[in-house]
Amino acid sequence: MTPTSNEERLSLDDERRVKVLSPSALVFRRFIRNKLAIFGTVIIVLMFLFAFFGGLVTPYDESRVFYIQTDVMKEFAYATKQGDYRPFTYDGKELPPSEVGRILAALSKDTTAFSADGTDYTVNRLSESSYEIFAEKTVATIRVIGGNTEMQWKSDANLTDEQKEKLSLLPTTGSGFVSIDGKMYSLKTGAKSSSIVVGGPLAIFTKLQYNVVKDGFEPDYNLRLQFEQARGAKAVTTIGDGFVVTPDGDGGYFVSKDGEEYFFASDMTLKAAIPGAVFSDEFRDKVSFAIDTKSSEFTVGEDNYSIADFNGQFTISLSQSSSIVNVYGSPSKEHPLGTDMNGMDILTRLMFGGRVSLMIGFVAIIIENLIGIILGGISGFFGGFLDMLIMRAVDVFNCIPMIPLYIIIGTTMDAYKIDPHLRIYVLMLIIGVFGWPSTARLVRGQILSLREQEFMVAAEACGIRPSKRIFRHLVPNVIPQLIVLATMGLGGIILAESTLSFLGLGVRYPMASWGSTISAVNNLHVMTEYLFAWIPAGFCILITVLGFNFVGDGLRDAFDPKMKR
Amino acid sequence: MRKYIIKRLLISVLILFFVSFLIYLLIRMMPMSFVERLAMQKSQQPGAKSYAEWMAQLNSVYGLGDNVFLGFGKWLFNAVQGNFGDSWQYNMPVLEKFNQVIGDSMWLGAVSIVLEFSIAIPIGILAARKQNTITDYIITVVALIGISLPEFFFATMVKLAFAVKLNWFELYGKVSRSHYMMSYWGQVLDIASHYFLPILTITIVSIGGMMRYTRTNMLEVLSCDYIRTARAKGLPEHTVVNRHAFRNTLIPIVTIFGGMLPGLFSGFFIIEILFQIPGIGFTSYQAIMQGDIPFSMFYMVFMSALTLVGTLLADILYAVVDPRVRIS
Repeated sequence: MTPTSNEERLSLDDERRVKVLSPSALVFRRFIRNKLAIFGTVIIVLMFLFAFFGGLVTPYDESRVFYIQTDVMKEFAYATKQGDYRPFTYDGKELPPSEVGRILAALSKDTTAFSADGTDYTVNRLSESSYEIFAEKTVATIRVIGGNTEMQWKSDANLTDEQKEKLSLLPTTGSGFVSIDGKMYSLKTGAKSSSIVVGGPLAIFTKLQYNVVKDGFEPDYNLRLQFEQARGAKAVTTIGDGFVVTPDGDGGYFVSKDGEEYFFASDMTLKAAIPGAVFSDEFRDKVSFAIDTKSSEFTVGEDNYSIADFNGQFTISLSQSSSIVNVYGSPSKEHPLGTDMNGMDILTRLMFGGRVSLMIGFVAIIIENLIGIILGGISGFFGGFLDMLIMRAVDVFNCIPMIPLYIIIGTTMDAYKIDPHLRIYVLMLIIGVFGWPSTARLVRGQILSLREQEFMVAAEACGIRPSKRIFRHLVPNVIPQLIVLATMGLGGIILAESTLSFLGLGVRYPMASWGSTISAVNNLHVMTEYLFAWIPAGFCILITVLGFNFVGDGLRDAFDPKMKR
Repeated sequence: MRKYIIKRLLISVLILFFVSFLIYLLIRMMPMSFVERLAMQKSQQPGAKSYAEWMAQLNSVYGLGDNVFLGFGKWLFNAVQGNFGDSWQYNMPVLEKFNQVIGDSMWLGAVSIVLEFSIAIPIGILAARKQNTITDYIITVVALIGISLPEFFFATMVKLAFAVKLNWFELYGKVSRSHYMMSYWGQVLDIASHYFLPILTITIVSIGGMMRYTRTNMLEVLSCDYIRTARAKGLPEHTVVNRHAFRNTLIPIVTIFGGMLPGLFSGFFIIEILFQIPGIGFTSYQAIMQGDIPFSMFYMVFMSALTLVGTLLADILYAVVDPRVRIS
């Protein structure tokens, strides 16, 4: 240390003497020495940049919806491979399920004739997997005793006398059968006795499925019978009425007439999953082949199909490239925080949500303070009846429960279908209007002690009018405490707003808000699987509120060092 | 003292009157659609009256047809007789529903208040004794984080961690599916396990403020002259802190405790909604969302009354506990 510098340090010239820090500079100094407060300030500045500047920088709009191209498997057709016999009943006959079961049992045992319930069934093989069933029921037995024919009518045949009369003539006629009331009765002559039976063809049992191609055409019993008989030949065959049966070599048969395809029969049925789907022959072949070879994919032309087996029911899906909303897209280069339930960029939504939250907070706190300062100032300055009145109003507002109140107002706004933009302004107003009591109390308390001080006596002596005395001379002395209260209050308002938005009653879609972003967790799947969709928003709220609390805390210590504890 | 209490009570009644009127005004703004829907439902029952008749009857029962002042008068006349009407949402008298659900809220509140005080007071005192050390800073920061935590966000995180990832507790509700097949103690344990997460959330969210309050008061006491005297006498530090300082710190804490007692009945709105605990908060939330005017009205007025009682209790307790602050 040189003597000159030492001298300089000790010298008390005018320049040095007047270098006294102003109160505000002192406050500032104390503030920046507080690490937590500086940390809080940095957080708030960053949040402001994020919300207001970030919204300008981001390439996306607040409510732009993003789409992605994906291969979507759309169900195209359903196929069934038939392994069982199915009946086609002869016109006018009935085939109850019990009878079907009986016949199926007989078919599986390769029986050619059997009887049950007084009915004789005859099985007539048509091809390797189809049979025609005849059913005959005896209505009467005829005995010839000494030249007299005696008819014994079966009681369960329920024949009328008229029918009986006609039938009794049957043995005498030569033809051996008669048709009465649409039923064919025929005479069966046995060795010992003859009988009259009713019946005839009952049904065709086939493993094939008929897929009608020509509109409005329905193959009748006779055609089916002819077809089933002809298909055993496994060659192009012409059957009655000019129908041509062409085997496709894969267990299927086309039936056409005059070059036009009428129906297609195979052991596989195809059902369209989308209306208007047309199945080409190649498609049928491929499906049938895929089912037989148990493969899961096949290609027809340029389309890729996949085939899935659900207990013998095959679902064929067509892979199509289509554009879908990018719902809960994972974080990527384009969307650092992913996309939300509406396919919007979460980072951008957070920026705009931050604007809304901060703006609601600031506007509400300004409204709160304006009302609080005016009413608190008047109350503290004038005292008496006015003071009593305002303080009772403070009590009234103070004891209304806030969150339920906001919810009531939120539901009311819902009912009146208020525009989402307008809602934000209403929210600001409501939070501000109901938040003034604490400010008013603070201002009043401070003014009560300040108004007795000498400077106020001086102000009164100068003849300054009361409004000026309150707002120019008294209120500025309360400003430090007001700033602390407001900073802490901002955090509280942001919390209240986000809670309300979380419940779906605050800021509404399409407007973004941190609280409404988190409300996606009401869907349990989102809560557990898409953490990126709600955790960042929660931290935004936490950090911002924390920042305001740090700053408020630091400001209080800086304004009033005696209070620093 | 008695005169003071009576005066405060009378003022409270007056305040409650105006609060009720304000709330009535607000609630009258609620959507009428619920009433209309209710009437529509009832008119569709077999052999029911027509829609218009129902509307007329509902209007006259609930006083919605009258002007605001007359309607409020009707409500007040019934309310002072303890008749808060029938809840539209729950189809039973409001007070009956209230009796059904208040127990759950009280349990939540009682356990979390005990936890809050038993954790926050020692930590707050610790922070004050170690003022401006790293312990103090950490406690301050943790307390501020607790104050800044959004309840709903924290509750969701707790649910994710303990109910989904660790699978220790159930996500929602008060009882599990097999509750009615359990033994008595099994049922008690079942409910306790469902209460665990809500109580944890409430405690952590509300502990920060209490911690800071204790710390501030302890610091104030520690800087008093009588503490300096005690130290000057050469008393050991633990005697100074535990016997001289702590007892005086208790004065504001007992006061705030008195103020919080009525809060036992007020329920925890957000927490009950998120955990679907059928307490007064969740019940009222559903009522408000469904436009159930009698229940919402009762809940709001009840909450206001509790706040008034709490303030009054805090003021009276302050005078009772601290002989230096007797009000003339």
